[in-house]
Amino acid sequence: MGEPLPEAELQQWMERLGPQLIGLAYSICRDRVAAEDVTQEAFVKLWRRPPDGGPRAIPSWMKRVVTNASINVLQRTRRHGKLPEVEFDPALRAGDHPAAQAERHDEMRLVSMAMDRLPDEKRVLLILRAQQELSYAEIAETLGIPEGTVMSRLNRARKQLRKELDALRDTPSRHAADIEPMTGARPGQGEQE
Amino acid sequence: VVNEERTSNDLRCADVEELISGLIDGELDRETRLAAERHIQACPTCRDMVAAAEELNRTVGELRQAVQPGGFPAHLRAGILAEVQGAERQAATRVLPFPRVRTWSGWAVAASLALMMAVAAVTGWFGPPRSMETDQASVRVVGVEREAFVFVRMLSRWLGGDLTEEEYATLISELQAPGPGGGPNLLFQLLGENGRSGLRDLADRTDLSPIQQQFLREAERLIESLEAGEQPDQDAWRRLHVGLAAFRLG
Repeated sequence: MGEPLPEAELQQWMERLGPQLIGLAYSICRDRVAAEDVTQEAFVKLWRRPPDGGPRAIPSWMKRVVTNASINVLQRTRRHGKLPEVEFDPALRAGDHPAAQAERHDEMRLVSMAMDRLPDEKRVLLILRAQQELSYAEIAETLGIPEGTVMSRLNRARKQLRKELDALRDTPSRHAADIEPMTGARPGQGEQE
Repeated sequence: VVNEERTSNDLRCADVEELISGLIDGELDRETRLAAERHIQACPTCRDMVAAAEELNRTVGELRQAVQPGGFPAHLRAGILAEVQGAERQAATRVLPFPRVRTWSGWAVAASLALMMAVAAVTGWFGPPRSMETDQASVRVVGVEREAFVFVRMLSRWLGGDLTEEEYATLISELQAPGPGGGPNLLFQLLGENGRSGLRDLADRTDLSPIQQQFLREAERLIESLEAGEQPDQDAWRRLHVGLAAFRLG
């Protein structure tokens, strides 16, 4: 068993990995408080017993810890098979043209809704690959699945995501009300109407 | 499309569809990737399919940017350090039972901070750097004895970050000791009749941030529960420790 991580190093890792880990936890469990709890526990775990392999091993180890803890939270708290809606950060698109912002936001909201319709294992797989940019080997290690099955699982997840997205696009009246633009004005609002 | 299915090296549209994730993720071996690329070059259907998959993958990736905070939240950093430092002190002194934080939420720290802000209001910590005289004056105002003076002085030094391990241990045992002048009773006295007016004074200040105002509301609730005769449990003390650390770290 190794020594606890020096506090100064722990602080550096917090700065370097913290925001990304909160984002990862939140993407999976969709609860800000739970995401922070999970992140806090992961850093305390890192401090107590850093992984073998030195600093290079820490980022993927932390992602693994946070992913698994977030999946546990999800399994404990998910009700009625429905996740709370993603909260987007409006500041992220402050530099774009308002109409483009709103359009892009609507597209992201739609993709986010399509993601919510996926079974958890497929959603987590896509989060790990597309958002966290884990390699197939890292995904296999994180989720405890054979590396050889990652590509086919991702294929199935992406296929279903596309299907859900198409279904959402085909029923605009049912979902339009759910898609609120990030900015005050919807694209084209006031110009065409 | 049927004619385009057989382009080169035996790869067909169905094969490319099976390989599409490996292709856009850069996880195919060189030979397979080149074969897939040759097929795609010759097959507009597969080219469109790959482009659409890449675009969707980008959008899923961007969702991360939409939910990720710009920096590491200060209250979270404080909570982690409080837990780490608490564990270190526990190991060093064996005096403070510092339970591992299992669930930790913003309001818990907020309440702890509010408690300390209320204490600060009563004891005059919101002014310029304090001298011994101002500490003594504060203690006279709240009408408690020397224990309170010692307690407040140690607490203020801890907030300043210059408390020794031994002094910290003494402070914690004093906080936890029941009876007149000790622990919950002392805090209760500090927060009792003067605590509420201190809170009201604070609430009237215009330079408080929304989060500080929220701390005040939480503190009022905490005081109410203290006044209702509820003894702070171990978890409440833990939150106090976290809050103190958060306060110290700003």
